[in-house]
Amino acid sequence: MKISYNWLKQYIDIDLTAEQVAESLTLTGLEVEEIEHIGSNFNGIVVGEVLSVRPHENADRLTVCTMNAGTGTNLQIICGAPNVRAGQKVPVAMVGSVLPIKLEDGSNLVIRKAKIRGVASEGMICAEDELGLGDDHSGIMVLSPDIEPGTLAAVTGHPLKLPDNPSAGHTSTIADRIDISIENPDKCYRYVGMMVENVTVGPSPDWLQNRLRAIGLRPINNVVDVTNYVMYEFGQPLHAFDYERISGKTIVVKDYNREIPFTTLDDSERNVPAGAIFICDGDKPVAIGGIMGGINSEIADTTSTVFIESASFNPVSVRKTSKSLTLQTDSSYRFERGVDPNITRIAAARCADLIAEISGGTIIDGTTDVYPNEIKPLQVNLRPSFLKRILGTEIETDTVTAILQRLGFQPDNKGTVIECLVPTFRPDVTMEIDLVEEVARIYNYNNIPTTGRIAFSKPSLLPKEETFQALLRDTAKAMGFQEIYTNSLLPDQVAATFTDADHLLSTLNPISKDQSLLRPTLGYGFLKTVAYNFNRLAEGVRLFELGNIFTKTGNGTYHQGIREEAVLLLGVAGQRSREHWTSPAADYTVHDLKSAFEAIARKLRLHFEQDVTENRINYTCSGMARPAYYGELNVPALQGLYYQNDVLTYKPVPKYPPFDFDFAVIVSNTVAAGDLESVTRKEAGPLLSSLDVFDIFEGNPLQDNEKSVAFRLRFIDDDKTLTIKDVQAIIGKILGKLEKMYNAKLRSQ
Amino acid sequence: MATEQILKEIREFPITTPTELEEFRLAFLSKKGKVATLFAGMGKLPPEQRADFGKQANEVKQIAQQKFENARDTLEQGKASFTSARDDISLQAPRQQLGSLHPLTQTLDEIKSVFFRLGFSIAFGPELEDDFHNFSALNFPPEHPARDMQDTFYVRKDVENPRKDLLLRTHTSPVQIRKMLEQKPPIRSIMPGRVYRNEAVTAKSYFLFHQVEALYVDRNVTFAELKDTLIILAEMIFEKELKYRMRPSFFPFTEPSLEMDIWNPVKNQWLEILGAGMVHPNVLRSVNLDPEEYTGFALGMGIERIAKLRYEIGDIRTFYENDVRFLDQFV
Repeated sequence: MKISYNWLKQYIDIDLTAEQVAESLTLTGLEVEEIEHIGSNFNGIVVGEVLSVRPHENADRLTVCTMNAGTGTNLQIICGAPNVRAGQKVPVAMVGSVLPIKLEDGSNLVIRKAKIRGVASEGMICAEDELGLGDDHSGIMVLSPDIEPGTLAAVTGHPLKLPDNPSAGHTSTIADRIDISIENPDKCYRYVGMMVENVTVGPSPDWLQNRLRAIGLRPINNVVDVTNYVMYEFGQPLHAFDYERISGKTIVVKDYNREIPFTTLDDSERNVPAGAIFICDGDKPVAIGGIMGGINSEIADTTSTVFIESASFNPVSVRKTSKSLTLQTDSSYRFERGVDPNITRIAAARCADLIAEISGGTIIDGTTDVYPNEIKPLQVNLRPSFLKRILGTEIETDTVTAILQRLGFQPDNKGTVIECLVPTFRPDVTMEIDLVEEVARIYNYNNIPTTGRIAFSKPSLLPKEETFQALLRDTAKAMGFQEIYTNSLLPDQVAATFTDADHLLSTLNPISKDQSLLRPTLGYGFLKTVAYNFNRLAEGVRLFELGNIFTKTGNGTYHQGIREEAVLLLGVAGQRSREHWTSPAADYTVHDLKSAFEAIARKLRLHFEQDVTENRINYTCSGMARPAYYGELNVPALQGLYYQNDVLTYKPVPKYPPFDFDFAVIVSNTVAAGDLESVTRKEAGPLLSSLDVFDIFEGNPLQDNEKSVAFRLRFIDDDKTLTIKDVQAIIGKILGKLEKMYNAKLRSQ
Repeated sequence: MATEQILKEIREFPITTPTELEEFRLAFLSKKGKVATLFAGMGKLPPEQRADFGKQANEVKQIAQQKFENARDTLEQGKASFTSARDDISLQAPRQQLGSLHPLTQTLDEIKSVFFRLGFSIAFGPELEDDFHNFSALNFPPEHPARDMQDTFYVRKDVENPRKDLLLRTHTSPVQIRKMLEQKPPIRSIMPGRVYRNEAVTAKSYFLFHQVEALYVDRNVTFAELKDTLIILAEMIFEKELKYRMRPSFFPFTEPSLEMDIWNPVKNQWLEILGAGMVHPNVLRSVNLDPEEYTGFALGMGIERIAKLRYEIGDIRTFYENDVRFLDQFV
C-alpha cells in the first residue's frame, strides 16, 4: 500500500522529512519498503502566475511569458504550450531544478538559463508528464487558482487539519427516500446510507486526481474518486450507487442459499457462491457486499442522485466470497482484515460532504444507520508482571500507560493490572500478548536492554538422522561427487515413466503442468541436470543428491498412505576422464557407479549387493545419447542397518604375510560373473581377505559361447604364515563348487 | 681471443652429476680457475684496453657463475636430466576432480555449527504437511488473511476436516509443533528444510526454497534473551561485529514479532536477515503447554537469502540449475 507523505501531512502536524517518517514507521512495525519521489522532487518547482503573454518574435509557435514566481522580480519564460494564458497559475521549473525527463545520456533534464531563438528564458512552464504526475502533454498544467505563488507545487497545498465533517451530526434518516434493512446481521454488522442529489458527474479536480495518482489509483469520476479518497482517509470502503437505478427504493442486505450469476462493474459476469452477502434492491442484487458493485447500478455520466453505502461486513464472509471468486479488491482487502464498525457513519458523512463539494450536489438531510448489535470496545488487561516476564526487562508503569494512552487504549492502572479498552479500529488487538507487543514496539525493540549473556538447558544429543545424513554427504564428497539440489516438483507427463501412475502425488494448484508432481525419485532431477550441463559443453559429471521423495504406497511415514523418505542418489554421466597424455579419454561405465556404491557400503560397514529390490541399489541407465547412470539408496533403511553395526573398535592389523593365489575359469557366457564371485567368496571361507577379478577374456582360443574370468584371492591367517598347502585345499573346494554349479573349468596357463 | 675461448668451454662443459659440478667449479670458478686467470692477465694489458677487457671478463665470470648455480639447483631439486619426455615434471598433470557440497548445504552447515555451539539440537519433519501443523496450530485461524502471506500448494483437500488438508509446507515452523508435541520443555532445537510457496519464478523468488528455524521453549525465556541470541548468532554467522536493528513485524505464531536487519556499508542499505519473536500463547496452548508456565522464542531465516549475501549471488535460480561451473566454485 502506498501512503502519500504530503497527504499524510494533512492530518498530522509533523516536522519530519519523508525519510524520517519512513524510519519511524519502520521501527514501529510498518515497514517502509521504499520512498518513491513522485516525478520531480519538486525542489525548485514553484507555482507561478502568468502576468502577460506575447508572441515570440522569431517563432510562430512559441510565446514569451512574463511570470510572477514569488521571487520578487518578474521572470521571462519562453513557452511552447498552446494553452498558456495571462492570469493562469502554473507549475514553473526554476533555473537549477531537475525534471523527471530522461535525456539521451540517461540523466535527467536540468533547467538552465537559455536563449531560445534569440530571446532569454529563465525557467520552464511544466506539463503534467514533465512533473511525472500524469501523462497529459496536451499543454501545460493549470493549477487551482487559490494556490499562492511561491509555495512548493507539491500536489496541493491544503492547510494541515483533519477533515471537517459537517454532515456527521444528522439526527433524521432518509427512510422516506429509501428503505434499508439487514437480513443477516452476522454477515453485515452495520449499514449506513446517505444521499446527495443534483450532482454533476465529471472529472475530479486536479488536487483529488493528483492525490489518487500519487498512491497509484486511476481517477475515474468525481463520485467514485471521492469514495476511493475517503476509503484511504478513513480505511472504510464505500460504494456509490445511482439512486435512480435502485428499484423499489429499497436496500436489503442478504445472502442466497444458491449460486447467483452477477455482473460486477468491471463488466464480467461471475457465479457468486451460495452464502455470499449481497446488497439487493427491490428485485435484484446490486452489489456483492464488501467486494464490488454491480454494473446495473453504477455511477454514470447521467447520474444525478447518488446513494452512498458505508457498511461493515464480516471479515470471514467477505474473504470466503473473495477467495471463491478469485476477486480481491481494495474493499475486500480491508474488510478481510477488519474495518472499524464505528467509523462507518463518519466516513459516510465525509464522503457525502466531499461529493457535494466537488460535484455541485446537495446532501439530503438525514442518515439511515442500521446497526443491529453495536460493537463495543473490548476490554483487555495487561499485567506489568506479564510484560516483564515476556520482555525480560522492566519498563516503568508510567511509560507503559503513556504508550497505551497515545495508542488510544485508555489505560487504567489498577496496580497489578492495567485495564485497557481496545479501540474498535484495532481489531488485531484481542489478547494480553497483543498489548505487550504494542508497548514493546512503541518503546522500540532496540531500546530493550541486553546483557550479552544467554542461558541454556542441557543440550540434547543430535538425532541419528542428522549424523547419518552428514556421513553420507561427506562420503559422497570424498569420492569426488558434487552435490546438487534439484526441483521436487516434476512435469506430470514424465514422472509416470519413473513409477506407477497410481503411486504419484500431485498438487491441486500447480504453477504449471511442468511443476505439478511430487518427485517419486531423484532420477529425473539428475538426468535434467546432466542434460543442462551437456548442453553447456560439460564433458563429464559426477553428482549426488540427498532429498525426499514422495509416493502413495504402504502405511505412510507421517501421513496415512503417503511415504515421504530421504533418498541418496549417486550418478555419473559422460566422460570419466578427458583425453590427456596420461590416459586416453574414457566414458563412465556402470561399474564406476557400482564402485561408488560399494565404497559407501564399505564406509557404512555394510554389504549391499546390486539388486533391484527395495532398500538396495537400482542402477539405471538412461536412453541418452551419452552414457548416464544413477542409483538411489533409501536413507532411513540404510540408517537402520548402519546403527545395528557394532561400535567401531580397533582390530590389530595382521602379523603374518598374506598368500595370493590366481586362477581363471572358463564358463558359458550366460553365467553371471557376480554369481561366480559370490560362490567363490562363500567357499573361500574366513581366511579370504580380498578378492579381485583381474581379467576377463573372450574369443580365440575360447569357443564362441565361452568366457574366462580370472580371480586373484588373497588369504590371511591371524595365527600363522600360510603356505601353498593351506591355500590349495581351499582353491580345490572353490573350483569343485564352481564346476558343479556352473560347469566352470580351470583355465590352464 | 681468450675470453671467447673460455666462454665456449663453459657452454660445452656437461654438468649432469655432482662430480661434474665440482669439476666445473674447479676448472672455472676456483682461485686457480680459468676465470681468475683471465683477471690475473689483465695487468699485462695496456691501460687503455683494461677497462674494455675487464668488462668482458666480468661477463664471462657471470655466465660461469650462472651456469654453476643453475646446475647446482637442478641437481638439488632432483631435476636430473630427462630420460624420457614423460618424466618431465613440468608436464601438465591430469586434473583431479574434487567433490563438493552444494553452497546451500555449506551455508546451512555453517549455520548449524553456530547453533550447535549455542546448545541447540536439530529436528526434522515432512515436506508434505497437514493444515494442522502448518497453519492451525501455528495460530493461523481458518479464513484468516495471514494465510495469504504464504501462497500454498495443496495436495489434498479434506472437506469434512480442513485441518487434515494436505499441503506442501510453506515454512519449517510445523516442525516446531511436532517437536513440542513430542517432547516437553526444555526444547532447544533448530529445524532446517525445504519449503514451498506457490509463487511465480523470478530472480528473487522460486516456488521452493530452504529455511532454518530455531525454537527455545522453557521457563523464563524472554525477549531480551532472544535479542541477545540473535546478536550472537548474526555475528557468529557473518564472522564479524555488525551494525544491526530490530523492527516490529508480524508472524501469526509469534508475538511480539520482529525482523532483524544488518547494515550493508557497501550498498549503503539495511538488509533483512531473519524473522523472530516470542512464541504466541495460542501456539503454546495448541500443543498443550501452559503459557503462564512456559515462554519461548522462535526465529527463522532463509538459507538462500544468507547464501546470496555471503557469496553475492544475485539470482536465486542459480542454486537449482546445478551448473557444474557454478558447483566447482564451491569445492
